[in-house]
Amino acid sequence: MGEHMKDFSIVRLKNVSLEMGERVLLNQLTFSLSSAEIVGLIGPPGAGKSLLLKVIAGLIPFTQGDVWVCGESLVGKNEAALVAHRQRLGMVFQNNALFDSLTVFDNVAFPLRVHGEVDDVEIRHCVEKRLTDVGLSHIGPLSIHELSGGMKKRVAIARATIHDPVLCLYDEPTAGLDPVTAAKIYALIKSFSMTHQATALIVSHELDTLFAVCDRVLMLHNGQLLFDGSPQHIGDAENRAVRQFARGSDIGPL
Amino acid sequence: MKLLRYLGRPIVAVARDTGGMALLFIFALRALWPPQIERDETLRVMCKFGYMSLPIVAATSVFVGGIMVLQAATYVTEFGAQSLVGWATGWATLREVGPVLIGLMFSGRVGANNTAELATMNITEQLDALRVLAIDPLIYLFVPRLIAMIAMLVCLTAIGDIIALGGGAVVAKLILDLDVRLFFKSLFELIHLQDLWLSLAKAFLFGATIATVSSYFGMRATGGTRGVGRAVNASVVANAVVLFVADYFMTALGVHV
Repeated sequence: MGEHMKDFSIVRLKNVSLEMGERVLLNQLTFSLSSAEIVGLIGPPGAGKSLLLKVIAGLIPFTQGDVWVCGESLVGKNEAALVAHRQRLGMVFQNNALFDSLTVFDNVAFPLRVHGEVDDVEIRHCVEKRLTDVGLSHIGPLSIHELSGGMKKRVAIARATIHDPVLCLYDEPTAGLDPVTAAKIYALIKSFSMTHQATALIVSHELDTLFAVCDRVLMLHNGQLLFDGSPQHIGDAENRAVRQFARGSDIGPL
Repeated sequence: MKLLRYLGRPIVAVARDTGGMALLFIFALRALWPPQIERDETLRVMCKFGYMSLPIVAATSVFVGGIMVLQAATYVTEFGAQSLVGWATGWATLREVGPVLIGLMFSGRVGANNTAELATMNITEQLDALRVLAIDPLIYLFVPRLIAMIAMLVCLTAIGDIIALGGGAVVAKLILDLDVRLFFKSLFELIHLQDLWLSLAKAFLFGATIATVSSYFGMRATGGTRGVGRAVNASVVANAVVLFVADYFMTALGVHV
């Protein structure tokens, strides 16, 4: 099973831990994500969800274990060696991390421009198509500060996916948005994953909407993986903390 | 033990920051060969740092030259040394007051702004976003800022020196009734080319220190909006200290040139 999983996994973690001084922030995490799979990552605040996304992105080095992305290990890789790894992934940050000195068009075009692999005509074509995909075809010339929260999230998704990554990491892509806009964002994520066969790992606290789009759910608590299974079965999980979190109850160990 | 810890903490912090800034600068030097320079970002920050600073540098420089003449006026009148006013103004302006005051203005305006911008980018995860897009923030942000600050501070110092000497000549005419031609005659006869080179060499060094110090504190800022404030404060203080230390060594070197 292990070798089979390794062959078809886009991401694989084996006994990954992250310690900072006395604190254990991630504790012996082992799981894998398959191609085109949409996986939800849930857990109470401080569980280590955003940290885990940054570990997979190679932004934060882990202290134990190993992470493989597309079969390549991240152990011992320096910044220069991580460039190839990062070109395979896209990431939407919790507060979007859009470059506020650039326009919407330039933000989305940024990954294509800096790597200099495509000419200006093709960049324009790609950016306009991606902005149309996210429903923002008319806002290319606007500055980032002129956009609403939902628009910023869509621009962040457009920028993260413009280079067709095989893995997309979404850190609370619907935080602070109304339910209708949140549903549209999830539909967008699902549509992108299906069209481009991209694996998605989504951190979210909006469980109902998240469970509706994802194939699998992981739950972290205090850096430990408490649940790895389908969203349909999380309510009946053996662990009390998982059941409490999934049901949104105030009675339980959390 | 507590006393040792109390005294040791700031020493460790200064050593850590000094080491961090040195590593940042060494990294930038390594990025220059083979050249890894983001042309568009370099031109953008050159315009922002240089062109936009011109009015404030010009305004300051006029008064710098005037102050030099005013300080000298008492002795010039007492000893009848009108023929040396141009030289004295030029000597003090080029070798010391021009580059130091323009450097401090530049540090206050451009350095603080740079720290705030980079600190905000760090806190809002924009630096992480660059790294996820497989772009090294040091090459994309720091190297252009280093090149732009060095180039622009050298240009601004050259322009500022000229304006300061012009301001000095005007004030000499108004206060001492000194002929402008006599002012510039003593200036050109007694000032050496080394004085001008020292002025520009100081500007070169100050540009490098301001870029390194301000970028270092910006890129390692943490802790939300308060973190931005703390980073800017630390950057302004450190820049002033480093500027005077660098000026001391450049002056010591310049005395023997």
